[in-house]
Amino acid sequence: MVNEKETSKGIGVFMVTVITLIAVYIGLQFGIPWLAVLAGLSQTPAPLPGFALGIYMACALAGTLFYMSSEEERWRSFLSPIIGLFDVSSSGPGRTQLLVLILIPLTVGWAAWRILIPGSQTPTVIRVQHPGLPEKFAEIDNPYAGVSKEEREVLEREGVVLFQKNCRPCHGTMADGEGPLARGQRLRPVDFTDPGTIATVVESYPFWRISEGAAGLPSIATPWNSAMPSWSEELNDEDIWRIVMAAYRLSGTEPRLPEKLEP
Amino acid sequence: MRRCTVKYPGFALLLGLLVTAPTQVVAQWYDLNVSERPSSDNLDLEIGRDIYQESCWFCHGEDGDGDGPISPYLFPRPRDFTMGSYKLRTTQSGELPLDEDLFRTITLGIDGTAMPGWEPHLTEEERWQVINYIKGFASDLFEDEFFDPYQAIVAIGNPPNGSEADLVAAGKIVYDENKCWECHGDFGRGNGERASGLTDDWNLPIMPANLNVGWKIKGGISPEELYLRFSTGLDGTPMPSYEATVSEEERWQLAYYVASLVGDVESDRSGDGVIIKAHKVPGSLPTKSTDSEWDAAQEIRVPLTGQATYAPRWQIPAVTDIAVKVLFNEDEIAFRLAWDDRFADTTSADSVLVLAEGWTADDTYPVLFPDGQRMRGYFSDAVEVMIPVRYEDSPILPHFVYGNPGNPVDLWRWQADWQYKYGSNESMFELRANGVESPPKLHDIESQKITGDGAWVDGRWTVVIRRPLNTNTGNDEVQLHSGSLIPLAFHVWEGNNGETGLKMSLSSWTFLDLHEPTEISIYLVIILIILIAALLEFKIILWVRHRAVSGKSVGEGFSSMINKG
Repeated sequence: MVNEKETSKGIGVFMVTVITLIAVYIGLQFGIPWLAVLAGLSQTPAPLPGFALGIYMACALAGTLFYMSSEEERWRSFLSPIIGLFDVSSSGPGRTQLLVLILIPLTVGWAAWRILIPGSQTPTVIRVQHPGLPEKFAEIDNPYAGVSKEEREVLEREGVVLFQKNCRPCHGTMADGEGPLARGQRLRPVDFTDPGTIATVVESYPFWRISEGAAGLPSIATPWNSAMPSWSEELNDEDIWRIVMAAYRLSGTEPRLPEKLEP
Repeated sequence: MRRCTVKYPGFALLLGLLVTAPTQVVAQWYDLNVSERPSSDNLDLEIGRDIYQESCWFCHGEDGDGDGPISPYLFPRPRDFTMGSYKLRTTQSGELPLDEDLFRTITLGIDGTAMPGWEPHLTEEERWQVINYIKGFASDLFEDEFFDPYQAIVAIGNPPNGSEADLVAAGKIVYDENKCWECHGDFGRGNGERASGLTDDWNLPIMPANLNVGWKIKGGISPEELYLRFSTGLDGTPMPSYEATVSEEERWQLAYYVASLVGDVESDRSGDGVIIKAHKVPGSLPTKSTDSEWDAAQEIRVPLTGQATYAPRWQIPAVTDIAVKVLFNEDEIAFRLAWDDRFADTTSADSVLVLAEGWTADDTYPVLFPDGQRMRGYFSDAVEVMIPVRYEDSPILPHFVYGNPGNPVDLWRWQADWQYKYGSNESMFELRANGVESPPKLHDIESQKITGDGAWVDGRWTVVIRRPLNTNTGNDEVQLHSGSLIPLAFHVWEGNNGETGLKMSLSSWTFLDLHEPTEISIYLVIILIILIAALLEFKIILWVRHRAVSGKSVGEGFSSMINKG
């Protein structure tokens, strides 16, 4: 009787381990990418890179094993179904047992296949979408910040024309990243209506991005994939500020307010 | 001639139906979810004007004359609303459009043009409001009862009976008999003999649609929508209405035929993946695009866009996709590059000049069609493969528009003008670029190892480019090694579209996988690994049984676990 009780407990401990690891995997693979979407930071889920997933899963496995082996009774219960799998009675293995015993070497073979004959994979590029704002630009303020409502309306309308002429081909008439030239660009033009983009940064950030374009990006932001021109070569600062204001107007967003330290 | 004639028996009946609920019927044709059109009494011109003067005016003009500040950079040009002339209608040729026709265009936008779909940006009510305002630009027409478009709706009826295959086959005959090929070409690529030199009512150059590229067919690709285009014509363009000359049944057949030419629109819209898997062949590589060796290679369609990073920026690229196949053997690599191009531009004004022209701009944006027509004989068609010279050394790639100073790219270019003038042996150039400060420079003559050949058939170029994987010249041209992903990109120039230098179509970085076929020994190794695993497993079973016999059993056994489970 005691034996039977122990066994059922053992199955429980082992299954708990398996279920925990599956839950952790699902959480990492599907939960984390969607968190950013649910929090309104991004419109598309951002998958966890493969190596990060591997590290987290290894941690989860080590942690579970550590917990299971911390008490002798629990450790024995944990091991019992594993050893039980290989405990073939003299009358031969049961049907399920046989199936599992056949599957194990095949799984090993499949893993070897995956390693020895790799398929083509898209190279994983870890790209920082919002690299830090260079200090030089952090100190710049919008010269039109204090203008009257009427003046602002005029500046924004001038900015809209500049935006439609220079930015629209890629970023779209309504700043949604769906311009006619967007289709052929693998690094898609930014969708400013996405609340995770220009709404999360201060105004001098888009001013920097427009001024310096791809050439001003650090290599963590893969400048070689970006079609963004360095507009300071062709437009003056006043026009670039007009475009910044137009981008916020067209996308229906507001810039983040700069954090000023109290004296 | 207007509205007095009832050509078809069903027309009067249908008209009666439409007068009661045109929105629903039109919505059904267009597969749109539209609520009933509000009556004009419930619409406010002020509201419509505010929307128009916020979101539409910069292209279509403050006065609706299609002459907004952005219009010079667009092709096709924005619609001039003052004429009341519209391409996409459900009304007879030369008639005004229904409000529902305008609603469809505003809602969905027009792919391949600058007109976006406004569905997410304007509410349904706002779209009706702005339509009410836009009609005001031609109020003399829209307010005249004589021109009421709701009295001129084209009969749509039902497709004739018969299988789709029969309709398509019959439609092909209609296509041939009515000389659709004169403009649209034998295969529908828009390359017919009359395609060159066509102009619209504003005397601007215009091209017949490429019926193979569904997402760029402006009025939609369902048989119903195509039927409407044949019946209504595209006002303002050379595309006439066939309502009077081709029977309703034949127009339906034609609609099914044209619908059958259109590919998989959704996959065409996005293109294929970014990995181009090269196929290794044992023998020599093909020299012609038609050789059967190409059948073994996987074809990848790479989407292209206009070069917009540096002036002169190119907003109207003619070529939007290139189909790529790659073969290689121990020594050589061969690309087969294919793209739709209505006219083969095989001559150029001055080939030496052309290499450098279009590299500098007087203004941010080039003037589109400076002579008011397509440019024949100035610029040659050309294609180019771009590869980073030092792709193996660093994960930092050169910029996808011709690299950067210090991070160069090599270019393998084919030019039609050189092939047609001096033969295919002289049509290939290996060049080096270090950014866009100056045009790419030719490699030394002893480094020129590429060969190639291009052929233009029925509105499509197919060009073969070959080079040794490793050149062994002692110079620093790019060398290709299997086993790593090799970044590469593609450039295409369509001469008569005015494309040369930086005015071109280009792709983002894609990756070439020089895929070595798996050797048989690897499969043997995998089988060996499986056997070793099975052997180990057997050992464990023996060990567990040994422990059980010696009374050291830890668990009750697998079978009991399953039973409990």
